[in-house]
Amino acid sequence: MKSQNFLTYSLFLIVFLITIPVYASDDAFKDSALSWQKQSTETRAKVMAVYKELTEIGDQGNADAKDLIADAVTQLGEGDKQLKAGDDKLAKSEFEKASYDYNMAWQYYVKAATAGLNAKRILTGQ
Amino acid sequence: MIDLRDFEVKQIIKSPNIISDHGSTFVTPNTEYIIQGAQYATPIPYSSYAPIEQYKEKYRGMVGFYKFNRNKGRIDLSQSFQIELPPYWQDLCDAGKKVSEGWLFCGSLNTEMATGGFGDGKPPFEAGASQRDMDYLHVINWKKAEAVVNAGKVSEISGIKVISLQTAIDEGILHFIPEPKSPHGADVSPDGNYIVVSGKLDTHATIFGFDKIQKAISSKNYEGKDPYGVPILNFKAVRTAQLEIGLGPLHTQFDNEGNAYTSVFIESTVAKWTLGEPYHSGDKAWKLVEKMPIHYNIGHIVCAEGDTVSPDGKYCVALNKWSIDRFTPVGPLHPQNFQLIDVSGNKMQLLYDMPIGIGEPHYVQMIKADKLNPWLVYPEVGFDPATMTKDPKATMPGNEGVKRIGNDVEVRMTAIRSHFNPEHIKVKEGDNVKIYITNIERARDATHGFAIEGYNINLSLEPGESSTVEFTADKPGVYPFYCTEFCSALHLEMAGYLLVDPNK
Repeated sequence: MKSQNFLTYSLFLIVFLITIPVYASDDAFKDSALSWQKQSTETRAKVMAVYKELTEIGDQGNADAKDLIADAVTQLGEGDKQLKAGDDKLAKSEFEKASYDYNMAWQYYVKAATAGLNAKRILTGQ
Repeated sequence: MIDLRDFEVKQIIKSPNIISDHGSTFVTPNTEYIIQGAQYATPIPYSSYAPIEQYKEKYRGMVGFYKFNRNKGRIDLSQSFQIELPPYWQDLCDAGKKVSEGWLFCGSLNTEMATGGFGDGKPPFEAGASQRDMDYLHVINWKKAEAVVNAGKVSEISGIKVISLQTAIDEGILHFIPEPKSPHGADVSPDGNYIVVSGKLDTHATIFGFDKIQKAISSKNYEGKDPYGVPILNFKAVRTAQLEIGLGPLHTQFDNEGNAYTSVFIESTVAKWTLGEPYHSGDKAWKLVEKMPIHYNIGHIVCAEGDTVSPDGKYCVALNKWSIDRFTPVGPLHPQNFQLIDVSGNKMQLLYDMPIGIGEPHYVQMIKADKLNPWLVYPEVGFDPATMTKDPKATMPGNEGVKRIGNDVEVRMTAIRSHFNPEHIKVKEGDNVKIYITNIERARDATHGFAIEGYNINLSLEPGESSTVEFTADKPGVYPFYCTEFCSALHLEMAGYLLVDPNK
C-alpha cells in the first residue's frame, strides 16, 4: 500500500513539475498578448479616425492620394486578419502565438496609418 | 576615408568581424576614433558558422573603434579595437562630448533575440523583434576600453584586438539603460549632458542625463542584469525628461538656442522642442514648440553643425524617404526628397525641395563652407592622389614616348588642351601595356579624361594629376582613345588610336 501511494504521489509530482514550466511560460506571454491586443485595437481606432476624415474629404481625383488610400485599406485588411487570428488564439489560450499575431496586426495598422496620413497630407497640406 | 583637400577616396577598409552595419560612422570629439556598430548579430567572426538555433549562445553584436592617424590621414587598424556585445542589433550611436567625452551611446533593437523564420511558421522579425516595451541603450566607456586594450586584456580575432563581452562587463566598460521600443536615434546635446533617444514605435523622445548616469553607475543603481550579465541602470534614476513628439520619432539635432529638432517618420513632420537647463528653465524647458509637415516620411535630419559642441542654427535639412507627388515623375522609381528648412525664426519655414536621384543618403553633416580648404589644382605636376605626393614615375613634358621591352610596352603620355602625346600606341596582341599619363595643365577646372573603349578604361585626371593604367592587349583591333571630360573647343579632336596588331 505504502509503495503504491509512493508511486502515485511520485507520478503526480512528475506531472506537476512538467506542467509548471508550461504554465509559467504561458502566463508570461498572456500579459504580452493582452498588451498587444490593446495596442493594436487602439491603433486601429486611430487608423479608422484618419480613414473617416479621408472618406469625408474624398480623393478629389488625386491619383496619388487614391493609390495611398487603396494601400491603406489593404494594410488595414491585413491587420484585421491578424487581429482575428490573435483573437482566435487568445480564446484557445495560445498566448505566445496570440502575442505575435496581435503584434503583426499592429504593424499593419502602423503601415495603414502611414499611408493614410500621407494621403491626408497630399489632399489637405496638413 | 575621403580627403577633403581633393574629395577623393584614399582608403577603404573591410571591417573585421562586422558584416552589416547601420550604426556608422560616428567620431569621437577630436576624431581619436571612428566608430562602427554592427547591425545584425552573427557568430564572431561571421565566417564561422553556427545554426540559427544557437543564436543566444553563439551570435554576438559588435562595436568597432578605428584609430585615426591624423598625420597620415588614415585609419590604423593595428591601433584599433572592437568590443564584443550581446546579440542585440546595435543601431545608431553618438559619442559623448564635453562632460560626457570618453563615452559612447548606442541604441539597439531586437533585445528579444528573435530569429525570424517567416515562411517556416514562425513570426517574422518585425513582430518578433518588437515584442518588448524596452530595448537597451548601450553606455560604453571607451576611454576605459582603451586602457583595457593597452593593458593587453584582449584577444585577436580577424587581425584586430577584441575586448570580450565578459571583460567589458568585469571592467565596467558596458552598462545598459532601458530605452523605449525599437529605438533608432541616440543624439547627445551640445553640452554633452543630455542623451536623446527616440523609439520609432514609441511616440516619445526620452532624455537621459549624463550626470544621473554617472551617479547610477557609481552607486550601482541597477534594476537588474541582462541574460549575459550586463548591468541595467535604473531607468527612472537616469531619465531626465520624456516628451510626446508624435508617431515614429527617429533622430534629433540641435541649434544654437537650446532647441532640438526630431524627425518624425510616420506622421511626416519635424518636431521642434526645448532642452532643459542650462538652455531653458522652468516651464520653458522640455516643451514641444512646433511641428512642421515635411514631404514625406523623414528619416534623418541634419542641422548646421548640429552634432557639434557649437551648433550654428539657421538651417536644417530633412532627409525624406518618399517624395510621392513632389516632382514630375520619370517612371516608377522616385527620388528621395531633401527639404531645406529655415529654423532661424519663431516658425520653421520650408524653403526648398531637392530630389536625390541616386541611392538613399542616410546620414550627413552640414558645416560652414569656410571650414574647407580644398585644393583647386594639385600642388605640382605629376601628383599621385593616392599617396598625396609627386609620383616618381609620372610622365613629365619632354619624356613622352612608347618603349618596348619584350612583351612589355611602356607608354609615357601627357594630356593638355587639346591633344595627347603620343597619339598612336602600337602594340601586338598579348602585350602587357602600362600607360603613365599626366595632366600637365595648371589652370583651375582643366580636367581631362582618358578612355579606351573595348578595354574598359576611363580615367578622370585633374590638373597636375598623374595616373597609371595597366592591361593586357588581348583583343586585336583598332581602339580609339579620347578625352572624356569636356576641356576645350577642340575637345573632340583630343583623341588617338590604340592599334593592337593580331598575332599571325
